[in-house]
Amino acid sequence: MNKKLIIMRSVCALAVLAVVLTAALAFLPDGGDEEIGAAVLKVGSSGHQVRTLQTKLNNWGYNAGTVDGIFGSNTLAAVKRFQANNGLTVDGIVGAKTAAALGMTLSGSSSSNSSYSSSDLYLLAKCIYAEARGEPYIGQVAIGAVVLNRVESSSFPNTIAGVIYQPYAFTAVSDGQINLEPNDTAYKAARDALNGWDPTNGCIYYYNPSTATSAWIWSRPIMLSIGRHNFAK
Amino acid sequence: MEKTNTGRKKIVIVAIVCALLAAAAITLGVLLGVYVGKSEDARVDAENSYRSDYFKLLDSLLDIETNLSKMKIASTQAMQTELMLNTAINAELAGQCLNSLSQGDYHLEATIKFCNQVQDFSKYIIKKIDYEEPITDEDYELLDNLHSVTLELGTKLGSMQENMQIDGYYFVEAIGEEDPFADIVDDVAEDAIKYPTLIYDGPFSDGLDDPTPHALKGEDVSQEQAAEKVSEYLSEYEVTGVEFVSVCTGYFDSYLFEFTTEEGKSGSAQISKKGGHLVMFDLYEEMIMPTYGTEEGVAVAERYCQTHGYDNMKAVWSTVSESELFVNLCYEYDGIIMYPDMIKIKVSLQTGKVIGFEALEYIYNHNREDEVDYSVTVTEEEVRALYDGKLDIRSVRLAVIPVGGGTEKLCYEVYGVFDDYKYFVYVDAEKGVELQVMQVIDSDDGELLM
Repeated sequence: MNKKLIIMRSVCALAVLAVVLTAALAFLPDGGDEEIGAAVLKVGSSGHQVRTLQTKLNNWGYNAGTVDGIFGSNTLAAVKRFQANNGLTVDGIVGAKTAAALGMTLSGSSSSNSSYSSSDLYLLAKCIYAEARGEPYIGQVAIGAVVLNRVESSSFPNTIAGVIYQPYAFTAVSDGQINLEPNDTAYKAARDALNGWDPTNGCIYYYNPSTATSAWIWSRPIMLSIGRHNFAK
Repeated sequence: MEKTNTGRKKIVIVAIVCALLAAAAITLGVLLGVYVGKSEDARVDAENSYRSDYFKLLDSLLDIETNLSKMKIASTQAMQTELMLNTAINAELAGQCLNSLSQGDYHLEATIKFCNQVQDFSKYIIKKIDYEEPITDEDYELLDNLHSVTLELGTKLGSMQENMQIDGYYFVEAIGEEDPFADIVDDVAEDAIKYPTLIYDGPFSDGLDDPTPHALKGEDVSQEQAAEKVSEYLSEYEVTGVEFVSVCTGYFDSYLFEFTTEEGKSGSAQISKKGGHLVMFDLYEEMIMPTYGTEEGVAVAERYCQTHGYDNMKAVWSTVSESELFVNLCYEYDGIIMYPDMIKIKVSLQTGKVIGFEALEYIYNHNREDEVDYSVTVTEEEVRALYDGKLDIRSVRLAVIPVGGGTEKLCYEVYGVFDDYKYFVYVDAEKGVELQVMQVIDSDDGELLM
């Protein structure tokens, strides 16, 4: 009798466990978005608050590199080291808690556009990294230039975000690689492209001839080839 | 007795295993259900989003069509401006909706171009009204053509509603397939819906498709001669290897090379076929702490121009990113800064050497052998008076700026600060109207060089 009871209890416990497990899995948050909407500093941020952050990190021996006001990989590594040493969540994002530990106050100041004016650089670097990491440096600048040439072209959206996220325009956006964090090289290439370096001399297409999926692309005149990509107008 | 106990134990174990399997099956089943449910939700969300864009596109096209239609009879400047503004706003919206409906079909470009040109041409008419220039018969003819095209496109796209109602058309299913939406969009790409060539003073004018490289002079050079030029232009470095990469056949032909230096650095350089001019070079360098200051870097950039035959180039703007200094240099003639004739130079603040050069704008625009006398009818004092109490003016100087459609205007460049933001305002030196207001955004934080 007792054993029957034990079996029943075991089955019930397992069923409850299954339901709880299912519910927990179904309602798990999709990502660490707790900071959305709050004033935060993260990779791609720039401006005086990033300068303050870099200065503080350097003063305390965390080596954030040059104080340039741009949250790049050096700053990211320094923030992570700081967070690890101070018992904070090591996510490389300076939110309210990390800022408080650093003795900083983050403000979503309405008199500065620094929190969103660097988004173009960040987005372009992400696109370059996703589409062309492993290509020669000049090939990475060329990918950035193609995005910017599309922004200027009448046949494409008129913003960097519009061009990059145009459905099915870039393979790396469609398959999610765009969400990878860009490295320093991609940032440098993006900065060169934004400053006007255009090795393609006005091209608005590129493709990898060994993996191109649309026959249409072959009808465009090839202007030059860099690394694995052909560039076309 | 023992046998009975062993038998019970077995039953218990089997029961536990069965219960575990049942729990696992339930868990998997529920998870699968949740997954399928989420997928279906995402599919419905995507279809709703597509349909929302489709109906917004129809609304915008209808608004463009009616505003262009009203433009035929509107007679006052205020009403004409309002109609053109509505047209421009709706053309922008239509373009955005089309982008969202893009299905990896390159033919969509022709339709997006149509929307961008309607928007751009409307702004051009608004500027004409502002400057009190007449709207010509040719302008009205083009507006009439744009009206006809909008009507035809809108009617065809509107007819798709029948497909949606009768055939159960779904955008999410039609992606990448032959479908009515792609067919209609193809009509613009394939000239079944014809629209005119638009040439006017605006960034999306059809007249801009064939720029001439005015600054390229001299005989054609061979690939080998061009390779030697790479070492000449990089005389600051000990170039140990130059490797040909590709011929670049844009609006002018050039050779692309990769090079390596004795210090083990690598980069690329582009040399024009005509005359063997340096078009651009870029050298990749790891970022380390800067040891040179901005002023020293600017002097390096100016010296590079002088050494390589680009005379009268004046540094006008510099910005520092980590250990790299970007310097914009413009041709200066008779004290006037020519912004279209720009060369950009990148200097390493770590080594004090030039690590990048870009001269495309200079190559296309530097054609000033027959300098014209620009008309200056507005005085500097009059321009300064415009910003009394608004802008803390730091400098005023004459400059030529590009205004779209390949044309240029002589302006007063007013540089000042208001509410911690830096501004550049460009005032037409002949008519006194503001042509451009620019704000220096934080990520661009650089310095004006006088």
